[in-house]
Amino acid sequence: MRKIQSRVNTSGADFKRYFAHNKAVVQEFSDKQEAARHIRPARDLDRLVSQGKMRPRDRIAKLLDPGTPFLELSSLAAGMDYGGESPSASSIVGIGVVSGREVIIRADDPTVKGGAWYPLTMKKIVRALDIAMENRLPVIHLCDSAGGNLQLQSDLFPDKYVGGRIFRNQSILSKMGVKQLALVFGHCTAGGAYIPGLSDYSVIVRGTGAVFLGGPPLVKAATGEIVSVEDLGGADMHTSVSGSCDYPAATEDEAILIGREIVAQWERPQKWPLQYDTPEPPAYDPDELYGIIPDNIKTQFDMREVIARLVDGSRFHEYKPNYGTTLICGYANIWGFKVGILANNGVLFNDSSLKGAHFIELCNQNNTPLVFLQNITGYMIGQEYERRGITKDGAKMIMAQSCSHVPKFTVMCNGSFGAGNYGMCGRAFDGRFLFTWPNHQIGVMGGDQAANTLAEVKLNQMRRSGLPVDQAEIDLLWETTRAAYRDQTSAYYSTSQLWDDGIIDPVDTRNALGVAISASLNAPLATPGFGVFRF
Amino acid sequence: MTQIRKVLIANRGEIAVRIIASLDKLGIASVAVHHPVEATAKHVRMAGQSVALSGATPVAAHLDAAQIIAAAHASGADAIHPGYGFLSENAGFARLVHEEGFIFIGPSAEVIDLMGDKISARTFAEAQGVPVAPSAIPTDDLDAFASAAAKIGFPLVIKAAAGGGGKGMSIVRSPADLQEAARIATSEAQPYFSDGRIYAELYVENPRHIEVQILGDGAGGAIHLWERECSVQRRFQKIIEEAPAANLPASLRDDICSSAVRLAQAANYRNAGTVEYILGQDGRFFFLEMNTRLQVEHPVTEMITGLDLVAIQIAIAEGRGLPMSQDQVPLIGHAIECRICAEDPCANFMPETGTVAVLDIPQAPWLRFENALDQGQKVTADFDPMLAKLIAHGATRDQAVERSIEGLRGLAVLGVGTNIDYLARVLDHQAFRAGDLDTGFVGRYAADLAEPAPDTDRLDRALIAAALGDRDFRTLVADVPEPHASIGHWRN
Amino acid sequence: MSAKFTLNGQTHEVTILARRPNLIVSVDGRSHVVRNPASLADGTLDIDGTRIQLALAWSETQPMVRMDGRTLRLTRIDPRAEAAGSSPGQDIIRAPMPGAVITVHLSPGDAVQEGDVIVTIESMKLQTALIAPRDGHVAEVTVAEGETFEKDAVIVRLVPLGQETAA
Repeated sequence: MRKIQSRVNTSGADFKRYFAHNKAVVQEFSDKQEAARHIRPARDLDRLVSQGKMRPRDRIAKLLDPGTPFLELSSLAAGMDYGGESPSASSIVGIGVVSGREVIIRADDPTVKGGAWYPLTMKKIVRALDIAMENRLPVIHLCDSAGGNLQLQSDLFPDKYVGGRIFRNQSILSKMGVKQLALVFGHCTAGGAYIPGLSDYSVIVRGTGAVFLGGPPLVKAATGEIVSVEDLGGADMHTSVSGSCDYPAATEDEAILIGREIVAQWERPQKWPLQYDTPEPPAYDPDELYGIIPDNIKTQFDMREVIARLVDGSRFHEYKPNYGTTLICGYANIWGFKVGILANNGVLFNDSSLKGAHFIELCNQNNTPLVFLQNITGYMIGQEYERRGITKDGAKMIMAQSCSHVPKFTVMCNGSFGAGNYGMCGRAFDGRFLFTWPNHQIGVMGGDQAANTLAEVKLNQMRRSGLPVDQAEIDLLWETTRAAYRDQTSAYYSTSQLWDDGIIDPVDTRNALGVAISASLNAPLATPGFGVFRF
Repeated sequence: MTQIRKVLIANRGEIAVRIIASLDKLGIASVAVHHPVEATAKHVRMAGQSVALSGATPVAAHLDAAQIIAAAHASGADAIHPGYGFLSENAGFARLVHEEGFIFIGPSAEVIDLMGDKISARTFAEAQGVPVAPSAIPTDDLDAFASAAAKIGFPLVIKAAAGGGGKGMSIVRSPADLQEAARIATSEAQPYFSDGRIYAELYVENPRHIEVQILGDGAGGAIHLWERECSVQRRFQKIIEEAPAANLPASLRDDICSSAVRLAQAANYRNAGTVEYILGQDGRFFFLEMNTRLQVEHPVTEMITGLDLVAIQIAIAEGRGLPMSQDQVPLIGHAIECRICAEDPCANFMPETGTVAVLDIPQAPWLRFENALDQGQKVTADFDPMLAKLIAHGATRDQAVERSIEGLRGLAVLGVGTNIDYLARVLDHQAFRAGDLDTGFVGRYAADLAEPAPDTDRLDRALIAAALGDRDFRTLVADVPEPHASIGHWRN
Repeated sequence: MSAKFTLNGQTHEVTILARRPNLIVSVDGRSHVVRNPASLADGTLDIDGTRIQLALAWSETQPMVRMDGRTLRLTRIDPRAEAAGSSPGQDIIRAPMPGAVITVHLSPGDAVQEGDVIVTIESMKLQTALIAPRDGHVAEVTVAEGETFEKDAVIVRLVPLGQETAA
């Protein structure tokens, strides 16, 4: 494969301006991440210390094999919800290596409201277990939670994809043969008790770990029985009497070591044999990505320059280079793994849609995973394009993409608007992982367009009803619409809602994709086949 | 003269191996004996045949004279070599061997008896004009003993008459302590040697330990094969021996060696033996004891004379007389022996046990490595902690020291703690290099001889090797899938 | 996760910093590049570009490393024991099955070492020793000789480690 010849002038004024702009964008992201991870009331941290407990990230650090990566997912989940009182949705989820096995780790965060679960905590846990199912990744639960946030019970109990879904997913995982291990560091109360209960293996720390359906206060209220935490659901009771947990541990450190020993017993996954070549770093410095992404979302840039800074040796085999040029398609390797890349270089026309659909089919034929690099304003609209069948051509691309049996990965690089999001494997399309760059915006359309559209509709309403045109009202509508879009199209809003698997620094994209692709290979390929393409 | 055709070696370990090597050279068949725990030991494998002995412990089996005689009968041996230790200085055994019709490769039972008792040996030596330390012979009356002992002067040493190897010894520095020390020595000697007799002797402070290898024909003819110096000792046992002694004036050497020959001649000594002396800082020397057998440290004598002492022992036992006259005995260069022991020099030389997992033996024309070690061999508390001996020869003492150090550095016995590095530190000590030796050496220079802390480079390398030698750590290194191993530590 | 050793009372830690292209380990925070760690089996290691000849053998938990004519004898720290060491151990011994007490061997206040028999019970014609799960002191033996008990009954309590000084 040939190396992409970069045309970026790294000493040009645009590059330098973009670089400074994006550095600031990434700094803001990293500041938010730092706060979500580490800033806690002293009271909560002191309580943890007094209980002899480690902070959840320290537990994870000790659990992981040294000198290996940890891909944290959704670090800013719930960041714009609950007034910011549930940083990272009160839980930590990520993929790493424990005892030589790729696993997904899900940890409660006892430094936030005692680890209580918010509705978005549950969404994050459910998503983690979905990832485990889709990729057959063993799960390690680090349990330390006060239980569901009772003030928000209606949002976290009755619906399909909240509380109960966690336990449903746990059961299905076990049935699939995907192992789960629970390390019980703190309390697992009520529903939370089922996390170790439904895990295939569980370790519980003596003195601090406890598992019960109802804690001592609830027991006393319900039956008048007075019982200590240790006797009701402590390590010795559960490991020697009830059998609800398997291994007692004297300390958190020992629990982690026992956990590592347990994982070391697990069968090694038989990954499907994706073509693999010895990795080589990109020929161009990934740091230059900061100087490539413009400081204005409306400014076009060549996505080949991005590809050149993600893939092995910056080598790229471009498919059909002279046809449908607003969608770049081609083969490359990321951390050694062969992938097919689809990247937007403008609005999708009929020809670019057809090329995309065809290339997706080729990758399916070749058992090559798909990587979508989104910077899309949508499919071209207008009479000419409708007459040419832009709708049915876009539908072909959506059909091919939706029905793909190979794993799909999406990176939201700059913008994702309208139906382009669908064709390029947006969140609804069951990509294995979806990451967002901090500069990215997403919406059914852009804020200006939405405001203009709504103002136009309002004006027409006023005119139809014969009333005088109230320009102030129209202006207000325009302003509020644009403001709402500005907030809701931001990457932070997306990631707060778990519309992605996390915001990542652009320079981390290569590693994130490497870990994600590797994880995806644990699940066998789906059955090939497509629905009816409209011709 | 009798032709010996088959020799039973009533011993084990390195000395059995060493004796078999000479028998092989001479074309004489060898018979080993072994306890079941050592059925596959090196001496058993090397011998033409081996006879199993039973016994509650391996040591008990090797001390069981009746079984060994039975083994000699069963195997058709015509001579028995006792090696050192075990039954080698047991007059009853020597007598029994003879009565059962075998040749005992060693002196007569009478001489063993004579020399086995410290008091009779001393009296005999004194009668031959061999210098003995002023002493007091005990009586049942402790008061009389005390007053006789006090006349010797202080300090003096109290020893068990039947003792050896430092057991039952105590040093008395003032008259006030004498009675109590005598009482304790008696009560200690009684259970240990079944003989409560003790005697007192002038205590020579920081003496050198000099011994003379002699050969006797059993008919009053005797020669010496020069002296050995065995002053470097720990727990009253030798760890480094050399021949000839360092810095020994020629006239003193002549006096010491000729007095040893005189003793051997007077005793009608037959075969190889060793006369041990203590040599004071003032140049006075005193008879210590006579060992009526081959010594552990005989190889240093072999290296400076080019002789095979075991072959000579057999020739004498066959009645062929002495191999040469005194003026024909060669003296070539210098030799040093280091005793490799399973012990911890940092913990008062406490014995160590383990399994010899690594055994790397240095090879050089000037090195001898006497051992019965096998890779995978268990080192237990069943036997003496001495595992092997490294003997180096050099044209000069300096060269012998250098070659010994080099040999020790090239020697690896791992899996059980040893004194190898300690021995190298002793040899490298400036006092040792200067030949400034006495039996207080180890204690005096304990601080100099302590294990030095490793420098950071060495420590780190050792830790890396140890970590990589640990199965769990190796798994941790090797057992990470791609691309995680290539990405390495990374957080997003 | 790391490998820990002691030498002369000092603890040293070896951990992995990187595996590709070469293994990089940290020893007490000092990093070293180890090329081809598998060559240890042949008695060599390439550390920071220097080829080291060495021999390695274990005596129980003690790796003995010989290089440059000197042996360093280290002691491997068992990570599980270290992790469990400084923490409260199990305080309660329960009956593994219903039965009767044959002998009470120790009384409150008695010191126990891990493995010491505290009470002998009989059940289904089989005698079973209830042993101390850790070192400590007996706080309470709830049964007397001849008494019967049900499965899971608390038979012995040890003085919790945190309160040991009070005992």
